[in-house]
Amino acid sequence: MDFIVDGFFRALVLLSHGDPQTFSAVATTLKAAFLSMGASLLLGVPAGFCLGYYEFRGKKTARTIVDTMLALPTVFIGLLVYAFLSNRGPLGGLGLLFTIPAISVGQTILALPVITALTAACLDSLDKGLRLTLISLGADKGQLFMTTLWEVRYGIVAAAMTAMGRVMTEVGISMMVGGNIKWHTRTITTAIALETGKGMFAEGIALGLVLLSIALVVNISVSVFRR
Amino acid sequence: MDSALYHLEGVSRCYGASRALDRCTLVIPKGGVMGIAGPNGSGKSTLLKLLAFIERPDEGRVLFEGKEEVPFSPTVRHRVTLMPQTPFLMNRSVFQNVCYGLEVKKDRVDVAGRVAQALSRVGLDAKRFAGRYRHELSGGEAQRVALAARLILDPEVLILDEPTASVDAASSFLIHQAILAFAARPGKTVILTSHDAAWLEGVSDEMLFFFRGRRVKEKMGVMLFGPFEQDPLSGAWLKCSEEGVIPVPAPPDPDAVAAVPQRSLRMGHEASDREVGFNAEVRETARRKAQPDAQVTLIGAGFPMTLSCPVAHAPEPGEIVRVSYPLSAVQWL
Repeated sequence: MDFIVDGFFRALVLLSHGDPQTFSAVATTLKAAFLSMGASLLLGVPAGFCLGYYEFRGKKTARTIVDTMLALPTVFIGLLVYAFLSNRGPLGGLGLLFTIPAISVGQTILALPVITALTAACLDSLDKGLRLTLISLGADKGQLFMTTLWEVRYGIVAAAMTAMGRVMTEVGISMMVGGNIKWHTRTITTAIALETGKGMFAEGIALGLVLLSIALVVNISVSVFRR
Repeated sequence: MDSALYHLEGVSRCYGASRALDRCTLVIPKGGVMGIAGPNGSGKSTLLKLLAFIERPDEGRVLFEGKEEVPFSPTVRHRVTLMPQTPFLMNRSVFQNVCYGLEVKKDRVDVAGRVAQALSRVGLDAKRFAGRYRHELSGGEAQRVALAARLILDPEVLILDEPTASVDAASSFLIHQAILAFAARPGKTVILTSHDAAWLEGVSDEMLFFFRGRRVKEKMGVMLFGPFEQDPLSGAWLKCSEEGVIPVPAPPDPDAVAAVPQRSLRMGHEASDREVGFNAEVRETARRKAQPDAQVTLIGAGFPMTLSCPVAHAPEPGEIVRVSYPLSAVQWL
């Protein structure tokens, strides 16, 4: 038990002294998450809007597929992205394997169904009177889209938070397509896995505390936005 | 120049297997108040959505000033507005709800002043209400905010679907006042439905009557739904129900719907050789100051109806009265 308490205090020392390895992992995690969240919001919000707002043939099937994708295991995504980006794969020529963009591609696949499914659920439960009201007040198609999204803004933020949680805490994708390369592609979670394997609990706990701090900052920002 | 605002040519609108509006052809003139009446499910709300270019017809054309228009058309977007029966207020303040229409038009001239004016037209004080959210409003206040959001646009055509349904008496009065003030302005057209049949008839320059998605020539006082049965002895066709037996002319098919125009119904007369009738229970008797006739609401043949009679002879609620009509007045729909 002592080694856990001891690790906790040593973690505070590491963070307060600005340990470069720790901060490199934090920077890599944030870069990859920023890219993947940007891409998944850009694709997932319009996709979720279409899936929740419009009625079309095959809608139920599409919803089932998206909902199933919510359970995609990160190691399976890592395997697929690895297969596509490796030298033998169709996208091997891009030279992305073991880079931050490669991690982002995998994390986008992980976050996209979360954003799409939760945005669609928000729009599904939206009062049908909104569309009628907006058209009757003179909104064009673009204004209809933007105002509808604004009406479900808290739902979309919740979707983004959920996706962010998955992206920041996944290990499989970062390990398989990032390669856990020190100073380059080592993320907080891969570093924790590595340090734990080496018995270096202080570093692991320090990185865990950073993850929690990031989550806290994001949540406080969302609370301020809601106000 | 053609003074018609709308021309509807064989317009139909279906929701799944249900045909809400069936091959409707009509003309609505520019200016004045057009009242639309009919029982629930007669297609009134669907017609209003088509007139407001919220929806497209499945068949036929909706012409506005002689040109076929569709939803989002720039010609009609800022000229026609609809207030639905159940108002929807966005998750933003009353001020932002009222000025939303100006925002989409990119009209930024004296927004605060115009919002205050629009709110005052519906009897709401901008200082008290502008900052409130929808959960801080009563049903009547929300309805009035929704109306203010339309009035601020100064539309040429104001379409209102049951504007005073499920609101308190004070809100209903203020909404009626605001509608009448708008309709009195030159060049403005108001198209509306209302559950308050007497008020609707009073304010409308013209009335359109609908039943089961079809336009009917006049207001129907009572409707008799099939099946109808033929008496094997006399050969007469009858509508048999718990309320009694009501004779009808020979129906085109046993499941047809018979309708008797309001003007043909008489209360308190005994059936004669040429007239048939049924018993009805008086539910409400409304006497208005300086009006020689009282409005009597009855339930008969399973159908609610409102008939007028001299105040001196008006029956009281609970009384059973005879409602009669000439057999020749029955129409098949």
